[in-house]
Amino acid sequence: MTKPRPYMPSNGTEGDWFESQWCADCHHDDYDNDVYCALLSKAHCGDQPDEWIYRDDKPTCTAFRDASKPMPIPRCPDTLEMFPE
Amino acid sequence: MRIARNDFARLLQQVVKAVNSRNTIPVLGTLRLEASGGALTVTATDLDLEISGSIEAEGDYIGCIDARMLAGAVGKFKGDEVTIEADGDDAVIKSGRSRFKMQTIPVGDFPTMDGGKFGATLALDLAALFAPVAFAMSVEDARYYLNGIYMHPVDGKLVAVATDGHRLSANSVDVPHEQPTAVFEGIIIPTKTVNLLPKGEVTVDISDAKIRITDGKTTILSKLIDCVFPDYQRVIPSGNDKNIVFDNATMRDAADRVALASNERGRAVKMTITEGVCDLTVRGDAEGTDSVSVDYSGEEVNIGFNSRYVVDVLGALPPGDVNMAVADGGSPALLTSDKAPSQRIVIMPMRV
Repeated sequence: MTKPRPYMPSNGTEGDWFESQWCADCHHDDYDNDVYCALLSKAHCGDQPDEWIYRDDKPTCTAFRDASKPMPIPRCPDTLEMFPE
Repeated sequence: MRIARNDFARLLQQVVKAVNSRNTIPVLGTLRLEASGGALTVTATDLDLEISGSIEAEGDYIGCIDARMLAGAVGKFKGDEVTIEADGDDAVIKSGRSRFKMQTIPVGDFPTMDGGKFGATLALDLAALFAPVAFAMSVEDARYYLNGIYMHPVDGKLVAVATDGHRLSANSVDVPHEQPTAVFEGIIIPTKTVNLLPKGEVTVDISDAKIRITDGKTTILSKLIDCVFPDYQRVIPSGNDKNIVFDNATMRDAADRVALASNERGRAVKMTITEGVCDLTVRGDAEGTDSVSVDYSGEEVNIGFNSRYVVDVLGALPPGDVNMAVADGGSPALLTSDKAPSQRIVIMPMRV
């Protein structure tokens, strides 16, 4: 499988645009509740987050979790399954 | 084209819900507007779901305009009316002293969902049928066939079921005999469609692959999840002979309190039920105990559940007495309430 092409904004304006497209609606970054995205902090320091890639030639964050939907809660490993696979 | 701003803003708020916030296909981020014959029809789609609605309008217009920008602008306009005119490839939107010029996309690029032939038509309050079960829908991509609500006709009733494999909730409603419910097999309605259902009675048309929900002049057309729903009836216990009755709010509050002692690795609340009392214990980073008065007289029962599940399922049942029927600590529990006789909830136990 080919490794995805990494994406990094080339300037502050592009970075602002990327943040408005992804981070602004993401569970991982919620300024009002003191939740800060580790990937965003990494990028602000100039390091390339592995999750920022080009998908269909468009900048994408693969760690994005839509804040308008409930954050998926990890499945309880100790509860018995109704429909064992 | 000229339209009343309030009606237009309300229509846009309904329709824009079909638009995904992130689209790799630009036309899916737009609304298709078509005004002719005294009506404006606005349509939005994400290819799995299409919402369209109509309002009265004067004049003609056709074009696809950016959904978020149009809905945002119309919502903030101060004028009583909105006019939209084509200006080459752009649309000029005016209201009061505001004027916006927005790019448009050719309407020929806008995808339309073919409804196909609908075999069954029902009139019912679908939102009320689904409300008590929606909490149990799975959010896991791996089990996509559980990412919605299963609905099927059984003996003159319509039954709605949702499960994530740990919790299951079923609710049913009687359907008048003149409604041909029997002509459709079970269908799975996706989560996004469930979350967009209007309140009150709606007309529901069902085909093999789609569902159409009509509420006045607004229509939701959605693909169904094309998969087999698990045989849920076999996991609803029928022989649980130990019936424990407790007050819903009291038990939910107690489970919520003791859950504070849990941690990410262990959310188990152990219930020790003896005559007249249920002791709840959680051991995590700390230990929390509580007790609730119950109506039970029988041998001691020890059973554990994920505390979050207990809070969730009790929240889906009406206030007042809840009956929890259990067989033993390793079998699923069945929760029912006399105030909601059509509702059944099953919760799987946890190793404690």
